Amino acid sequence: MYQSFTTKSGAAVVASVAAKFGVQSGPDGLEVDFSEFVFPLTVAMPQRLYDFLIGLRLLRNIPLSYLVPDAALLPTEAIRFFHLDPTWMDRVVDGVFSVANTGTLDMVYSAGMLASIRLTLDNGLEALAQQIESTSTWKVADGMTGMLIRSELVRRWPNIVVRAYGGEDEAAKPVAVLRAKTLSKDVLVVVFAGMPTLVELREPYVGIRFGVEIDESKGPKAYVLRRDTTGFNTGPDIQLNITGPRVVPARSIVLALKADDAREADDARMVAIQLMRPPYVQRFGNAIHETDVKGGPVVNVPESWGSEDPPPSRPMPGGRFMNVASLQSRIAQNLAPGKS
Amino acid sequence: MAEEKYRVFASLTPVILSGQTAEITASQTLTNHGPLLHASGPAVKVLVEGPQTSITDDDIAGVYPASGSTDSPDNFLPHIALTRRTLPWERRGPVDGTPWLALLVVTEADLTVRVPIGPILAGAERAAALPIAAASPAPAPKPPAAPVNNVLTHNEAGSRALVSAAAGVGGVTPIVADFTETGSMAPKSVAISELAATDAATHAQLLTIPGLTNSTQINTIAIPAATLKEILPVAQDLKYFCNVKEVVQDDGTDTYTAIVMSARLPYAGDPNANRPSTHTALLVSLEHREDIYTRWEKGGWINLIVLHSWTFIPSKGGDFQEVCEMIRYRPNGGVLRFGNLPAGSRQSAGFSSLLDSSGFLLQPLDHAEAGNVTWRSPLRPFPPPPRAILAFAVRSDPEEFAGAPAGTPLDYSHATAFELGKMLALADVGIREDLHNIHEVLNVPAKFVDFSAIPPALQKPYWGVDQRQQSIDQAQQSIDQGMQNPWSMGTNQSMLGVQNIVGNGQVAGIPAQNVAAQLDAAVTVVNAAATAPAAPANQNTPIDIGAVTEASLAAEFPELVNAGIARGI
Repeated sequence: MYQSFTTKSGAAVVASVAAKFGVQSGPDGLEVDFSEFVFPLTVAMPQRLYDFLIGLRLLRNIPLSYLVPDAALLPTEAIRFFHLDPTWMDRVVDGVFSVANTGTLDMVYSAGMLASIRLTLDNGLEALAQQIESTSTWKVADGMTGMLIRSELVRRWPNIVVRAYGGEDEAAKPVAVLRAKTLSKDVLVVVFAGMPTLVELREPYVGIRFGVEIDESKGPKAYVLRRDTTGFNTGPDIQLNITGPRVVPARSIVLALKADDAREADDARMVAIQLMRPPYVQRFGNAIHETDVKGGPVVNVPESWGSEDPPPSRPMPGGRFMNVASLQSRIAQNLAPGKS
Repeated sequence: MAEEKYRVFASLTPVILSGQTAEITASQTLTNHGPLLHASGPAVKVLVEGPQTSITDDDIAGVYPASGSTDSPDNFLPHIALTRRTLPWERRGPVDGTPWLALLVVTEADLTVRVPIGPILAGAERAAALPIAAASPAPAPKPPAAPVNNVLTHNEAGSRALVSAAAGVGGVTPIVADFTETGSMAPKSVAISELAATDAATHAQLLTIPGLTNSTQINTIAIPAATLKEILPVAQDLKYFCNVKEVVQDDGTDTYTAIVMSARLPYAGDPNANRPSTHTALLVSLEHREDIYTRWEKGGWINLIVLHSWTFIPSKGGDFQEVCEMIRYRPNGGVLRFGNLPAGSRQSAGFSSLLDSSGFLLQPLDHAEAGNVTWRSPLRPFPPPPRAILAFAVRSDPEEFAGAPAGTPLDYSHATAFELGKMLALADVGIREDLHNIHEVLNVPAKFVDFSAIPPALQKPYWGVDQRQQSIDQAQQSIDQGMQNPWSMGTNQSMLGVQNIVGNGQVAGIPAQNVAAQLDAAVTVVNAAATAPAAPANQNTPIDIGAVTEASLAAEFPELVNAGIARGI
């Protein structure tokens, strides 16, 4: 590609050099293949351009309609997991640099430049993964996956914490979350470095909180978990009667504790421990391994998985029940046009 | 991410309360020999001060729910975290041994006393709204209201205030609070003396508190005694709503904050009702306010000093866990692979889908292109085929499609991706500018090898500089300079490829067709080295230890002798 000055005409040089690159039309359009060349080069580029290109590889600035061309692909209150097509994203980057092309000679130069740029971006993504998860050994060749969430979850908790692991529990090797960003008020996109087998959605860290579990089906009844001084659940829930102005009867908590064990301290510490509400963690495990219908047998998976008919109520931790119909109605109201 | 561990304390009470004076007497005792110059000094009196009528932002570690938030579940208690861990116990509360701070949660309706006397003024619809207590599922009976006819009206400034429309207790207007149109409320800033006309009992009580005088400026809010009785814990229970949190980090650092939580839960209202009410959280002082617990049976209004306040709107959409759980139920979308649908005909791995396994839409989108055009997004339901790492598109592909046989599916996916990238770059003037400031850099090794020291057969004609003409530093500088300005490379240097003893350099390294020749040359050199004659035997001269003398050693090792002399040995 790079040669000393020559006595050949410019056209002859371009023709001879271009012939080495195997320019051809492939399934992805016009392609330039110069696999026989090895470039000991990297690219120096302005930080702004670098950030822009890395961002593109992470779906930043890609309009949502390009990602989800049909609204049915991401209905309301849905979570969708996907694989990211690296060739598609490479074409976007190629398109960016096509702006600077001015002619055939530039095209030849661009092919070499694009090779270096692609290598630089790949290295950058791998470095980013290591920066996020120091134990990451992920390589771009391992592939990227992601998750789209369209839900009230995003609207109300836009700083939702996403964590991913390569095993069945949190003790497994973490998978770097390269990007977790809201695209609109109720859509969140997440990009993983690799393919996790366990994904967690954590309620954003808001420090310690206090509260009760309210069972709407039982009127002014509420519950708190009975905990010992270390915070572990130790027995049946403590039932509380929430009166009209919704005042939590702290003395009832103390009396309930002392009724079981007179040694329990009559102080604010025990009340606080009973009222503590840690952030909730929703886990998604790779419980069902699907296979490609073209590449392997179809796994007979019940259609109910992933989406079910709603029961009237659903039992929740702490002995309470969730009124599904009521909550669906509320969420629908919140997402209705004009509401925010 | 570091995990946090909490430790909770019931209280942290200072040895000396704020506003009190302590006497400190110093003495010293000497346990060794020596004169005692000063046996003891006079007692020193120290007045301990602390926040009393207001707190600063620095005193606040955080509040929950966040100020202005609209999405906090209504089964969580509002609270404020204070950086001063002893603050709630630094003053005497309504009775001995209780904290002096309490967090009240009120809505506008809580401050409304409904007595249908006199004309209803503008804004009275808000006055007619039931207090939050009455709107909850099991309303407690409210005590008789104070004999004050209060309705809501608009004042000239556009904000609203509760005023008495008719003569109440003494025919005066209580100092309540300012409301905005959204229901947010701000306590009134007044001098304590101003309370004399509107709330004489509170005025008198405040003047008994050390540190407060008629001229002390306070933020205050008047709350109907009946409401206060419902939402303020009895004095003996105030302690349950204050505690100290110690956060223990993995790195061993500890952080203490005092927590004051409300006894009252917010109320998001009826699910079928409109927007929930704006709630105001008020951190109030109960320092020496034993009067409250006797006065609240008598009705009327009770003014409280407000140290801090913020507003929020609770949500009736369930908490985080509930919303997570809801996703799985129809008609919601469920948790599925991209492209799959919760119901319908099966297309992809047992699920109904809008996409085939490659991500193409089974039902093509409407388009204006002629022929059979297909398209897919970069999101695929199954792993994509291997990436063509060394294939590049330098223009989009429609012109390649021009000659395609009729009926051939034309995949416009990558063409649109290419055009999208082009449009994104064109749309950003900064990116367009940056595209002119990009250049390639040779991966110059950090440590050069002395090229001339390498056997000629092992030297490779690749990028680099002939070391026989330049020093290592010069070579590196030459390459750096050349990359910055490739048209001004030095004499005997091509633009990027470099000559050495073996031949012309190639910036791309050893061309594939030359690898075998290079390898053969290297093998030849290594074989020659392996068959070279052995090195001569040890030629050091042995020393006869029996015949050695100082003079002979000095003659044999003059450097050692000179070094010893130089050091004075």
